[in-house]
Amino acid sequence: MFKHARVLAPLLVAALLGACDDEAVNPPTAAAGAMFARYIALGNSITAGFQSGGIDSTTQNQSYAVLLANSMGTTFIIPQLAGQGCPPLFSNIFTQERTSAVPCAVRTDEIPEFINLVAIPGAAVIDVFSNFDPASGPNTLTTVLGGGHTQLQNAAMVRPTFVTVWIGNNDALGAVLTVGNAGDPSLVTDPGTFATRYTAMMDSLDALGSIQGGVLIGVVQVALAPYLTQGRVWKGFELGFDAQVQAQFDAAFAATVAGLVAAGILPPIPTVENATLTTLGINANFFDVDLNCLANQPLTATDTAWASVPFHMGGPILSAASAGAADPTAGANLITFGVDSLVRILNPAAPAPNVAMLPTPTVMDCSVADAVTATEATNLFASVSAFNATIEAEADERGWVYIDPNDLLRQLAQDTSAIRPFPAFPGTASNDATLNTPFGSALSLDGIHPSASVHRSLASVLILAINAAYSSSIPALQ
Amino acid sequence: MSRTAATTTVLAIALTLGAAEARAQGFQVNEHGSCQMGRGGTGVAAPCRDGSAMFGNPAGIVGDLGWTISAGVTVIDAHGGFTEDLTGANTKLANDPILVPHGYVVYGISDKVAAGLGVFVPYGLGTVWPVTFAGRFSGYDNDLRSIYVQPTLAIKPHPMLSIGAGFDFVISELTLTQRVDLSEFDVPGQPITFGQLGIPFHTDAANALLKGDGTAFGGHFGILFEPSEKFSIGARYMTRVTIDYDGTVVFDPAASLVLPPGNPIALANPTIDPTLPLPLRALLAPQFLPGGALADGGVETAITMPDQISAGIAIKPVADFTFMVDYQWVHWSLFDTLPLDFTNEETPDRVVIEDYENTHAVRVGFDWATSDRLSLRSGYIYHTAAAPPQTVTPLLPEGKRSEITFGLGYALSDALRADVAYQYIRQQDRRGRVREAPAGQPTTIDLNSGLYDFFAHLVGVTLTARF
Repeated sequence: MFKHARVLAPLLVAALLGACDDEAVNPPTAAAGAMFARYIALGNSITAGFQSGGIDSTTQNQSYAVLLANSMGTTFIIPQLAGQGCPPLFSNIFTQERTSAVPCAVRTDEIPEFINLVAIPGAAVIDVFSNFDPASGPNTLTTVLGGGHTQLQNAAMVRPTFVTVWIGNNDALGAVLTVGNAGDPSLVTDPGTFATRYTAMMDSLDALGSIQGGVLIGVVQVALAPYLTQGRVWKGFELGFDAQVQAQFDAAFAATVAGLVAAGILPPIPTVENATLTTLGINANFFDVDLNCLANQPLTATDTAWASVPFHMGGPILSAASAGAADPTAGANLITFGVDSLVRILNPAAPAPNVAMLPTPTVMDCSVADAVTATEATNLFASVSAFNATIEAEADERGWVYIDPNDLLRQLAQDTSAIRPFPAFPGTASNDATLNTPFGSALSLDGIHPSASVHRSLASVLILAINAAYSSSIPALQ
Repeated sequence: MSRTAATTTVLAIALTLGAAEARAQGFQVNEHGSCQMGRGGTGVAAPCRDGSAMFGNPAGIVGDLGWTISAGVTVIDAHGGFTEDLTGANTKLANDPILVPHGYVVYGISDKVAAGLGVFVPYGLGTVWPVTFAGRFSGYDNDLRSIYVQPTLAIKPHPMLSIGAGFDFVISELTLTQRVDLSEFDVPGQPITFGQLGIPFHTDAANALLKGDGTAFGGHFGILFEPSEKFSIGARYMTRVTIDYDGTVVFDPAASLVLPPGNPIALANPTIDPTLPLPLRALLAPQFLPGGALADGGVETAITMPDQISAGIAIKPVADFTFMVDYQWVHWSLFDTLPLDFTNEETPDRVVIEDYENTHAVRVGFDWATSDRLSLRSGYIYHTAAAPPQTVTPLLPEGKRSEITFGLGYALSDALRADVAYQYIRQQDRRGRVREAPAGQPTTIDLNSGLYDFFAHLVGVTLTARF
């Protein structure tokens, strides 16, 4: 009997162990490597896919983060918006028309268990880890996209293995977008406070305990955003306009201005592209750009802080000038008001104009509160530089990749069709440019958020940097 | 019947009524006597002489004269968990060890007629998960017990043939505890869900405690053919019973999420200040009042305890050794849905899709009487799974099982015998889900998001008195 038992027992044990055809956990994978199995993108509107003053499923999927994840070959869930988005995109920045009258089409009816794209438009650094701090600025999309959770809370649900963080733009950008007092230094986060918050955010990410690597992206020099037009460019626009009128009477005028530039008395004046000034209906005598718009403060070899005019200020002034009545003195007045003031200041020996014949012009004054003064622009530059020093140090401390987006933007700015120094206001450029690329092909219609093409460029930059830093082989974008 | 025996019987019944059960094949429980448990659950063709034949094969109670009274308990120490695909995080079952008592009283009127009363629990489940478990919206503290009280009569019309039948009075209680997911609720007056406004998937809105009970009647039949002392064959059939549960649902607030200022709910509601945080608990408070979707009320459901057929053979190659093989078929395809009909018209009714499949089990075991007092036993069991791949859920994450058992019986005296058994259950690691399909959409394996694992140690003790 025991002989049978000795045979039976092993058989039973073998049967016990072998009879269950176990299934297995199906962990997420990434074609580019295990490090990218759970990729989370934190950030603000750019990362979320905001373009042209709105966000919809198309722009969400154009985000550099989505493109990067696709190249990584990793699962990347986004909080997909329905319909025309929330809010819908501008279809015309000048008329402020949008693609839909519905202010927010909310989410699709497929609610995912988690999201990888946790970025929230409007988020500053503090919003990444707190929705209720007095300094936080949650908005409708904090709930619609993020479920009312912070970005860190949403990230923690995924236990990310890899992160990209592009946050901090809104710690400075608010000062640019504020109507009434653009450039207000009080709207720029103090660099010390920024550093404290950024470090706290990074410490919280570290505490997740799952992150194997990441990329920190620096803050854009918002004073260079195409939404802001440098005062000198406005002056150039005026001079160009004046030149067209003046040329009827004084062929030497253009040469005079060019000579002043060549002598270094005037700064270089960007050319207004394809200006079809007559279609604007602006009479030269109705428009003047004050000389205070030429104010500037040299910063570095590459950057100068210029007095600047936000789009929300410059647009209406130009519109008002365009709406002005026809100049009754046209053809009689040999020296327009604007050029006259410039020329006389630069050359006091020039003859005085017949002031009595001049109409009252619409004046672009760069000393008003809504303009960004050179001092305010300097503050923006300095603050962003300090922000980026913090971000780079945090990246270095962890051995993560640091990317300065300003390198890419400076490169793009070399092409004035990519980043226009002067918006393609109606009548100043082709209709196509006015409608589709008013701030250049690199920008969406709002002059702040990059276009889909720049998202692709940024994704390519990230891929190269990540592969170099982590010896990975994320393929280039298709 | 002696006073002691009567007390033992009453205690056994009382314990059974109060017991909770662990799940088995489907939500079937097969351990109803330590003798049969030790031999791998076999015994259709050679029932144990402790009264457990009322479950194992009602025909098997005939043969012994006088009283046979037994009572016992099986302790089930269940372990398991769920491992998420996404994060690899593992959540453990939170079940405490479960006691499953059983009790039988048999009186052999003659060597051809016997009658008895058995109390056992062939269907039951008990799954307890931490309240933080992602599957809490399917159910995190669930208990089903169907107690069969079975008067049984067996006769032996021929020396080689026994026939038995039992009448089952089934008392069943059902408890489901689950969380209500706000993201799936419709926004009042709008054709969208809260989820579309951004309320995250699996946002706790309320705790729902559903309790119901019901009774039903069924039958249990057995036949035993013993052409020789060395060979026997048996079969049994237990009918299905459908329990109509009538009970209550109690909703308690469970929302903890506070929406930040500027949320779309506040913006769309002029009575809410959009500049302030919005606690969902406060927002939902009216829903718990009469007329609200989360107001307490009645609930009805129905579950069919499936019919089951077992057949087996027993071979005695030598006088003191019995080798047994059983096969069992259970009609689990009857368990296709779990409807939850709420009497409160504002509370959406639910239908939980189960789509179970019929199951098969093979059991082999032996019982070796090494002496007049001592018997050694062992066995092996293999079950197929009842739940199809798309309905492996927190409520009952079952799968194929392999089980091994060991046991022994010892005669403490001429009238009193003790049987003990140990059983190890290893269930197939099985992919499953922690979420229900959206309303109106089919359940598919695409919802599976992780792996359920399960194993259990069982220890059974039964005392049997014969006089």
